[in-house]
Amino acid sequence: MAGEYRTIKEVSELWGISARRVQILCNEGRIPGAFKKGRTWLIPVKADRPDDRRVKTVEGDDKFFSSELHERDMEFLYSFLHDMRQNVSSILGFSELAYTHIKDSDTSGKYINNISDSGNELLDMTNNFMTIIQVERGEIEPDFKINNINQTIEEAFDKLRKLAHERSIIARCSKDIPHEYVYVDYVLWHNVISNLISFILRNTQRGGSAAIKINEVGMDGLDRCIYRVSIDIVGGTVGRNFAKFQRTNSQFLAVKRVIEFLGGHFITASDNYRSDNLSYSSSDIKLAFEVPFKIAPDQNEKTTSDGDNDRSKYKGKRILVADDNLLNRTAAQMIFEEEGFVVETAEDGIFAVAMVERALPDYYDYIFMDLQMPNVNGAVATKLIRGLKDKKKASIPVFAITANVSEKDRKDSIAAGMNGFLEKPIDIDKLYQMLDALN
Amino acid sequence: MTVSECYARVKGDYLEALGRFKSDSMIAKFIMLYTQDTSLDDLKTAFYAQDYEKAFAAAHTLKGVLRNMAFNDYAMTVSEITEYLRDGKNIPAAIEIFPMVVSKAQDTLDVVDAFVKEREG
Repeated sequence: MAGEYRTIKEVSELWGISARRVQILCNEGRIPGAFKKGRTWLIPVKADRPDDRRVKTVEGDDKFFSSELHERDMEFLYSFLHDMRQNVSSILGFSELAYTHIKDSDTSGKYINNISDSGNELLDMTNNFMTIIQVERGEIEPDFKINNINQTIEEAFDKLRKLAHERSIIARCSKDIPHEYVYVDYVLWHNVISNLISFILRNTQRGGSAAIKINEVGMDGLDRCIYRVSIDIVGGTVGRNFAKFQRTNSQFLAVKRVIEFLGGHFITASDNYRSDNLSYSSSDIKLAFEVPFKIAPDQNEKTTSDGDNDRSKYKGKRILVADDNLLNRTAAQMIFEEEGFVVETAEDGIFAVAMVERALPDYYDYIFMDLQMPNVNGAVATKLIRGLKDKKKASIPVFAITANVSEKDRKDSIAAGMNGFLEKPIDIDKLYQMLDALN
Repeated sequence: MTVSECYARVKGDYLEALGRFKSDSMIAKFIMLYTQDTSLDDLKTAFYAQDYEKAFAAAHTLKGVLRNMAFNDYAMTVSEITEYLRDGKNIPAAIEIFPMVVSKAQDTLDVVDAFVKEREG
């Protein structure tokens, strides 16, 4: 057997394409002789790279596009550009109205809100399209880390309830998630949930109702749980074009593609078109998909000790540790992870600032920084974080971890906006005292 | 040489290290990391160049490393030189104590190297 087959990683290096792309080709059955042994794909040594270009070149053709596009792709592009044009028209139209009513702040304020809504929808559309392309081209590599998935869902539900109420939509949210801590690509999962919430709000009529349910429905093997996400909309806006909607709506397609990328699949996407009278038509929409997550077993164990109950609320919180020294950085990471925190590290203050800037606002819960770092030290890095435009990011609690705190260090750090100090080696009791003091 | 023996020879606190790293195997991994640490080299380089600001930064980092490792005897000496170097407080005293830092560093390294060689053996 050995020597006759290659692994995905070996083939990826040989063919000069991403491992994810090789996996997709295997899943699609486009590599003759490739088979799955357990969870591992084995590819014959003699297998040639299939022609996986999605478009064909057409020689001597007068068409605008240099390659031939599938009819389905043209339909999607047309619909996408049509929706973009609608938003651009809205922005221009409402801008003119806002200018006309500039002396009436209430009226112009409403038009400005409409401009903002159209702008946000435009941004979401382009982001979703880019996500689809990145996934299709194998440019995204999932980054699975332990996360408290319950928290993300709860935040999304709060947002849905609030916005639904403003739009006179009845929203019902429910979940049943025994395993909160799982390995998940936080950015992609957040993308899915945000898009689903936005999908519900955009596609439910005023006075309609929508229900979203997220349940754990079973196990896949010993270490993976299966989540089912179900959405029911009564009084949807899609109307009789639901079939086309599924083929052309960039938001729906982005969610579908990312779910498939995470190893999940759609169970149902259906509608029931209703026409109550000549001027009113709507559809009831049902969507459901399942996605597997690997469980993080240690994190899901509940503590029974009274002394630990206060500390359990910190489990799953995400910490960024910045220290230029490898041993100190590794020791801090190990100590924090032992306590149930999720830890990311940076080798210098400048990397730490960059990581905070790139992350979503609620991504990091705490930052721990060494004061002495070669390029950007802890105090300067803290000042830069405090100066960020995003208020949530700018107010992330930052603590110094240092071998010794002098009075000057203390003054400089407080002036920079740090919240406290921890001496090395990290004392766990003092850590929790500091975190409790924040609350 | 066991981990606790290694700690006895470097006059470190084995129980403190065990409390921090939870197992002998994890302590052994950090001992390996310690052999790759460059803070002492940085301290020596800065000292020989009479760049006492850089020497302070290196000593400060080395102190953190040694405290994390619970190499407490060595850490105490490094802690002393760190305070002499801080803001150029007492450079003559730092210069005077520097040979002891180097000597303790060498003693520690001899034990740690022997420990690592036995493991790799």
